[in-house]
Amino acid sequence: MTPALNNATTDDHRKRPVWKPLAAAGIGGAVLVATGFGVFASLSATANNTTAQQVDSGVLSLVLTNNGAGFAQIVDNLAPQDTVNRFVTLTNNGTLASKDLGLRLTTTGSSSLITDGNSTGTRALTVTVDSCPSAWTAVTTGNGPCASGLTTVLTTRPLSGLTGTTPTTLITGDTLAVNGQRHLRITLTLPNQDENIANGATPSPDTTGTIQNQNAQLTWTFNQNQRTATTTTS
Amino acid sequence: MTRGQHSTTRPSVWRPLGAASIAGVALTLTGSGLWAGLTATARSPAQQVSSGTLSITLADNGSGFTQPITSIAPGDVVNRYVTLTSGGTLAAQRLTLGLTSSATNTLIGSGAGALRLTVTSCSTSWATTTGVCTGGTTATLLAATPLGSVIATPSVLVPGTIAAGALTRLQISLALPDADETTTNGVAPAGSIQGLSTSLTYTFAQVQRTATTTGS
Repeated sequence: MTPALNNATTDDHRKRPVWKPLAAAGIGGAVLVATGFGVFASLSATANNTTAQQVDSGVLSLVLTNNGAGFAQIVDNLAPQDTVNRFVTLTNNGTLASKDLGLRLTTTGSSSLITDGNSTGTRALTVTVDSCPSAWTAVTTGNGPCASGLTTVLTTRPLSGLTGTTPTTLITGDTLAVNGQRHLRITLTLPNQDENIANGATPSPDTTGTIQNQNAQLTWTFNQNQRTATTTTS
Repeated sequence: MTRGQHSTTRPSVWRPLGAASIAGVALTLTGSGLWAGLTATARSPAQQVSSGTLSITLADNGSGFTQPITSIAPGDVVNRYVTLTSGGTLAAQRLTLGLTSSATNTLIGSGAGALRLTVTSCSTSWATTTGVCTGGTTATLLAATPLGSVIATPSVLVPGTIAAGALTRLQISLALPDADETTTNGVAPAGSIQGLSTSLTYTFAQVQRTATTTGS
């Protein structure tokens, strides 16, 4: 072999044509496409609803509004046997009917007004809840007469009876339609009890046992449940 | 240069023409003698060949998909009925259901609060007002599945063959799972399933039966 020929052969080995692998890949791809269509091509058919099915989820919502002064007005300077009525309206303002009604109370302040644990008898504030199917007619006159159908939905009990973790049921079942309302009267009473303060001593808020000069803050939480779930078919 | 030498170096143009003419005449004469004879052919009646058609159509059975589902609540189940017709001349196979949604929200996700889709077939016909498969048998083609899963990947309803002309009568059931949510003073919690809406497009698809090789 001549040196020139030897050099040429060496160059050929060093510089392989770049087109070779590209061409091979191209041919391979073409074969794949051709055979691929043969293997996978087939008829298919589809059908769809031309009008999209509309789906909306409902909303369950309950709002509390004062009827008259309601809870916004302070209950002040209570004495034993005093009774204070407050009126509120609950409105189901969602898009779903509801059922049931519960009440839970969270409190801060003096336990002597809240917890009825005194050995001398009932001393803490008691609460009663009445419901009227229509609006209370005269909330400013004390009892706020209910035209008809008054129902006591919570019998009298100390405030502590409502402070558990589970709401107390006021109404079971009884569907409340969308935009329906429940008209409630909340009655707070300081039970009749005897206390004797000697020589003008004024109990401080820290004085235990007394119901005088005490204060508490009450948060009333009403709850309702969604209407019974349904199965509809059409 | 002699005359013979001249013809060797420059052949006359007439010579090949003459030779070709003679050969052509001879070929014509002898050829006619060689190829003349009886011939026979066979011809079939025209073979009819027709291609098949593959078709599927969707029709509401009762209200079907045209009736909106409004104010659905946890625990609610809403059944709608549609009928698929494999209306082509070819048998089909592998019926699938795909789904698209106009909205992206909790209802059409894959979480615990998402709507569940169940597809059930009836061998006879559905009484759409009662949900009863009258005199027939039902088969669950798709167990309760979050809509998000069906949106992500079409679900196979019928893997096998569907005869040409066959009707597939379906109950499409949407259920909102039980869920605890508390709306406080009119404000729903974050991630709520309440007050949401979407529009759903169901796409049923099938492919032709397996290709065959026949001999007869």
